[in-house]
Amino acid sequence: MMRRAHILVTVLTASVLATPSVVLAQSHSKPARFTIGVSGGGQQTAEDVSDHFSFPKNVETETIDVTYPKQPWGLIDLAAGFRVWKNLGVGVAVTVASGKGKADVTASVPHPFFFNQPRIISGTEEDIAHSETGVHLQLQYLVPATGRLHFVLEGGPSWFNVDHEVVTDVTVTESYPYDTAAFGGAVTKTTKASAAGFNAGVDVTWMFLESVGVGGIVRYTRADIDLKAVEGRSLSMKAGGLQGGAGIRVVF
Amino acid sequence: MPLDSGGYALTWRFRVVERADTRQYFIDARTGATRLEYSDRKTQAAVGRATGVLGDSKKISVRAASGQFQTRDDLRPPTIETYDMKGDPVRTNNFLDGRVNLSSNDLGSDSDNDWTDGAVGDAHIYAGYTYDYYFKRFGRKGLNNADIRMQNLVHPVRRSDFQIYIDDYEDFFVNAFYDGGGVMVFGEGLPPNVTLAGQTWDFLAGSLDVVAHELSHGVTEYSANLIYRNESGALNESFSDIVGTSVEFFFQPAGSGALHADYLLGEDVVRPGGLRSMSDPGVFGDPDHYSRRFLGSADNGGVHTNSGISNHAFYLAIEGGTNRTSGIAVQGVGGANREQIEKVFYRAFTQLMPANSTFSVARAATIQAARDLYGANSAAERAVTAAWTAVGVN
Repeated sequence: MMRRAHILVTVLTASVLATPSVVLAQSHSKPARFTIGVSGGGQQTAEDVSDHFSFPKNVETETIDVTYPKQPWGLIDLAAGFRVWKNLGVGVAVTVASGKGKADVTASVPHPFFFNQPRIISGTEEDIAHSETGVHLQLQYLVPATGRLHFVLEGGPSWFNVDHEVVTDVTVTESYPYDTAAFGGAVTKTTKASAAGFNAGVDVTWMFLESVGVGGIVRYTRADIDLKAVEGRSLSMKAGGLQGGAGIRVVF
Repeated sequence: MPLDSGGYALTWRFRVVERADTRQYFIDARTGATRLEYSDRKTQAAVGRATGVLGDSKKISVRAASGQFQTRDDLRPPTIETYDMKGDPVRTNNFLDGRVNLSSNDLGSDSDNDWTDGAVGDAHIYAGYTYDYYFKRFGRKGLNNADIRMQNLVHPVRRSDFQIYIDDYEDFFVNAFYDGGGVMVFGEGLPPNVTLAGQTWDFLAGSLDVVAHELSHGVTEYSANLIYRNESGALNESFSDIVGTSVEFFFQPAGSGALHADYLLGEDVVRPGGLRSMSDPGVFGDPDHYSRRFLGSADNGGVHTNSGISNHAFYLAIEGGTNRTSGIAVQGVGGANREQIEKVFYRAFTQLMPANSTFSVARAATIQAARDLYGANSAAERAVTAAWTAVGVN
């Protein structure tokens, strides 16, 4: 996904730079009315996600513990701002953070023949897909420009749609006499959930042309998500996290 | 049909209903060769809970088919089936005589996989345990070491029919027996108000050592095939007692009372006391010394009596002690090392002994086995040698 983000930024950069006559015609005696930005970067997951669940197996209870370690995801950020009055504005940003992580799985699997003789197995399932799309509404304060450097402080509510691959079971490799077992892989299911949260951050732009600049964002977003992988059980996780990126800004 | 190797073959497709299975066949239309065959029965292995004859709870490996659960173990390598004869001694006899076949409809069945028929559950479970013991202890694959099918028959009669059938079918009440070819029959026991020699008889399948004993006759059948009379017959019985007790110690905690491992045979279902004692055969009138052996012709030359001699030798080799008749003391290997003596006797009885073995041959074979497994003058060899000497076998 990072590679796709870079390609997108490159294309947008090229297209913006190809139309300098338009942006050079703008006047900047006061903050621009409109701002459009596109950035690529990354998002650090807020924290490790742990899951614990159990179900009947061989007349006993099989328990499974799963940890999804926190990790960075690739990020694309598309943002637009509109100055409403003096230095105050409103904006909206859409972020897509996605990538593939892993799940560390440990399971206690009951023996098929005997009570109280569970087999403990563990393993790692790679390529656990995660994707989250955030829509961030923002109140913006456009810090008065100092030369070519523009600052925008922004924050507001967010809405997240999360797609996350959740481990729902393990595949056990076992054979007679079943006294030992091995981790044969995880059974996963992609689940979707949405939740409201918040965002707060700063956007810094250095204008190398009158209407075109390069900028960076640092933003913290957060929403509590309940993923329902299996009927009657949910996995709680935090969407969002610390986002950082850099890209092109166009003002007019 | 598509081939796993790629491409296609022109085939005829047949569905064949067999006694024990329903199979799909794909026959090559050009050559007549069988291209593919597989079982078409929509069944699945399942694990349930069973309450045993003594009220204990155990797991049971069964088959789920057509909304029912049946006592066919699909998790262990051999086919282990337990048939509920539903108190029909005539049909049981006809099956044992080869006049009728049993089908999946005769298997024990349960609708919710929570089994409450103790005889059905215990026979099935304990047969699996016995298979497990042989595999884990000796690496043996079932009775014939090639995973021959094991078939248990329970409820050959009903206790309520005791008055009707006791004379004609006594074995179906107060006996369990191996009928050859992997078939075991477990007696129904006696009605609660009826005793035999002052003992009550519960379902014979409810005792792990009884089940292991009968299955071990199958092991003997496919190995030494000890002739079932006189000394070789006593050794045949003794090997089954030895394994029956060893299986108890493998799966149950040592101690006294129900569901505990000890040196009594059948004590969980024939109460009080059981049928035989390996630590003190004389308690049941059996010899603990060769000089006291039974020399009559009853019971095939006392196969269930003279087994006490080698049973006691096995006991002394493990636990040590003094033989009551000879007064000779034996230093056993100790309960913690019982595996050594079990392996010695298993090797001797399945690999070294001929069908007409005597006690003396058994002594030589077990001493040789101890040397083979643990070296000359090892603790195991010393214990086995001293034990045979103590019981008067030289």
